[in-house]
Amino acid sequence: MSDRLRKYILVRLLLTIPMLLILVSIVFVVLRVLPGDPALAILREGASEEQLDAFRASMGLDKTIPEQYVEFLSGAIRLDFGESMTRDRLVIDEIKTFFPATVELALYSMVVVAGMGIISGAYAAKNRKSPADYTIRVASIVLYSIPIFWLGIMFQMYFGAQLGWLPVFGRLTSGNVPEVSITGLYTIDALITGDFDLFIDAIKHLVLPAMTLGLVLGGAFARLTRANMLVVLEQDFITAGRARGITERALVYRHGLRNAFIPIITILGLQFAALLAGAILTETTFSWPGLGRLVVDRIFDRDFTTVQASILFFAIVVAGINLLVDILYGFIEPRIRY
Amino acid sequence: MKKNKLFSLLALLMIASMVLVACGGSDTTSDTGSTSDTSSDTADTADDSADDVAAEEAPLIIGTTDSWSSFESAWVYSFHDWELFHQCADGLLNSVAGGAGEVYEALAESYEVSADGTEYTFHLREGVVFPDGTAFNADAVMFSLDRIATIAEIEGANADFLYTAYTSGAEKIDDMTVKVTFADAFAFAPQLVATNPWKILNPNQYSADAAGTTNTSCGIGPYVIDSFSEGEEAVFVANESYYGDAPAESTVIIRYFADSSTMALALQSGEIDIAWKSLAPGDLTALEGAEGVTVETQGGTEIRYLVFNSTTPPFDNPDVRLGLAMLLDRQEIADLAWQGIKVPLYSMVPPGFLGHNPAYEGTEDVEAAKALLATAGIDEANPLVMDLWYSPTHYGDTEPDVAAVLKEQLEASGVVQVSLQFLEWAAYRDAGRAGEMPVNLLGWYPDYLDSDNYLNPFAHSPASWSGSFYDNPDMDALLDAQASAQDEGERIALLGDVQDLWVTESPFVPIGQGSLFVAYNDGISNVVLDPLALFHYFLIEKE
Repeated sequence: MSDRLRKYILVRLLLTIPMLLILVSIVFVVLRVLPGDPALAILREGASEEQLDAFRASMGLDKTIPEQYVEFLSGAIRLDFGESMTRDRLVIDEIKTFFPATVELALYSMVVVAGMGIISGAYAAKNRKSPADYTIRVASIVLYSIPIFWLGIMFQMYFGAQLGWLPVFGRLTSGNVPEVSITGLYTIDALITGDFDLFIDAIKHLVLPAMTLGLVLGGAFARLTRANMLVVLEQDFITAGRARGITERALVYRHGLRNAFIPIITILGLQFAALLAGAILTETTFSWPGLGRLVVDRIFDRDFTTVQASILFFAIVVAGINLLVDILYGFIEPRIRY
Repeated sequence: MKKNKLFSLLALLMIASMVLVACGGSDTTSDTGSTSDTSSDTADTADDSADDVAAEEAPLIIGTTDSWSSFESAWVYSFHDWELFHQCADGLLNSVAGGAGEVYEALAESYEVSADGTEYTFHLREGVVFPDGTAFNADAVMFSLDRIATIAEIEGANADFLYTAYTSGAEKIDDMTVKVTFADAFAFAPQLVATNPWKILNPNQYSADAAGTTNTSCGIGPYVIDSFSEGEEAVFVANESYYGDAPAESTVIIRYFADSSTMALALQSGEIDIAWKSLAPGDLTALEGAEGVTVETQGGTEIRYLVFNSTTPPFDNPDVRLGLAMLLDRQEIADLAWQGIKVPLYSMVPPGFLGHNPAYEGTEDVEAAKALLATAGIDEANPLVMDLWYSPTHYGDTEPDVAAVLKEQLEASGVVQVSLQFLEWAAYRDAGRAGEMPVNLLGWYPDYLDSDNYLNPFAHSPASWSGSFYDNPDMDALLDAQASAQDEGERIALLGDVQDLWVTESPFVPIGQGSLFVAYNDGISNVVLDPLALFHYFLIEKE
């Protein structure tokens, strides 16, 4: 790693800190100014004032908002987010339990995005104004316009209930509990432990949710790739390559796509946040036990501690991925200097 | 270049594996696999036998949209948490499956009640052991009851009141005898003893003074919890040392769903055997016409009602409250808004409960209502302009429709103008408790199966939790009298009086009674719907 790159990463990391601070501060304040007392939302309807007060005290809600804020920040620095208000267990354990499911879904959705969106976009650019180009362009607009939950339900009804090919919910078949959890990503754990049955079962359960999430975002990437590829394919080096007798396939998919990749990978990094947001809907549709679903549930419960920590966690992940994308620029396009 | 090729190859491999799997078909109702570690040692004792049994027969798989919150009996208050405990922990007394408040002796072999009705002496069942071999005796009972009070005192709790608010303590008489002293001669004391906080837990598996939120050890029940994964599944296997009848199926798996539609589809695709709480009206309709699916229904214990803030004019006038109640057409609300998933309710006490008196029957009369409202100065020239509050999702997707139909019915009289207002649940509870919503919609599930629980928490002063603030010494006296009446005939008469007075006062107006629905595939039998909304996994049979 060059000194320049090291310095760049350091600066980016330093810039991430105020961004995260602003984000969690907004989340902290919004949660507290929203109407809805957590004690009333969490305790039973007939709870006495004494019980409500005791609950507020046990959760630190009897303190002033600045005191709560300082307490939250000092804990967050030490990665101590306290206990969930609704589950009486550490928030970090909640995140550890639910986050791998979201990551696994997001990763496989990315594969669909990249595989279907980018490749079809490149193909459309190569065959500009052909029936395939028009079909891909129309299909990508249609896919991008489809509500995620609707597409998910259609997949469930057709591939699950009607054809019986694929399961319609969950991460694994009922009772198929992994013997060991290494990463929490069932497909990866299955490969590490050599449990092929578990791998197949996990993949079966991933197909429909990953296709749902990936296809919707893939529509946008097909168009983005096509537009960038059209610009690249007009450039002199492509003409020169063609004159040298390089095959059309190699020109488009090796040289052209690589040069069109910078804006695509930038959007890919930014879209990871959208992917996590989309995962909330997909997780609900497919009863996928991920962090997105957890956050939504806990917002309704007014579980401040879990919501704050989960959103901070999401932000760190998104910031990390965008940093990674920036670093990748240099590998994709060696002319880029940090 | 090589890196690019490797990346392409990996991506291709991942897509190919997904496509191959997609095209390869699937056996979506596969066998039970391995077990996972839990905090429970007791579950370990059943692991081997469970694995053996699982290899022989397919497990019973039940879907639910409910969610788990805790395994701490001092804390848990939701029906689903109680339902999980119900499979793995008996109480001294248990509720009869499908009975409206009847109880039977479970871990207590018998019990006696003192002449004044306050002392219950329980004689414990001999020779019973917890799944890990720990002996069941008076020490275990004292441990369980004392820890409820201790945890409530140290950490605060949510469900402890069903023990702590009604008793002055328990006492060990001898190794197999325990005496519980109630604060009053409650007629519904046996129903209280059958509630969840009274479950007897394994003293070797729980701390006496710390909550066991994730402790799945439970007590003595037909099943033990073999593994639990929040939001995914709970696996129950038969408790080999259970003193009672062995469960019909040796392995039961509960699968958690985020929404009703996916659960209905999973039932139709055969991934689950039973779709339990709660199916949305549209999904129920679809399943009722589906081949190979049976849908059963039964009146439940949930009630829906209107709340008036009795301190806010003009709703501080009982005639106004009753007048508005008389404008309602409950059957129309049930048909149009609830689409048949709830039925009209004419008393706060649902049918089937002791002393049920449908006192609101025959009161739905628009002209009589207008005449009554006119006495309070409300007529066409001077209409009542009011807000009607509701929470759009907490009681299901049908709630906006309920509010809309209510508005239509009230406005059809020509003397009321309604503006619909809504708040998300947490804010709704805030505003309700602060008395900021003069007229609002609420619902209630009972804590214990007795008529008292449909009356006392609402109308006995101070009725503050609901935002009603209703305060009437006559009502208080009647409520206290029925609660301690030992003679059933006398109690029925008193309950009847309470419900008659309720109509003229109308602090809360009953509207609808929830129904329970369950859908299951062919091959499933002995599904018992319980008014308490607890599902008895151990009774269900699968071919």
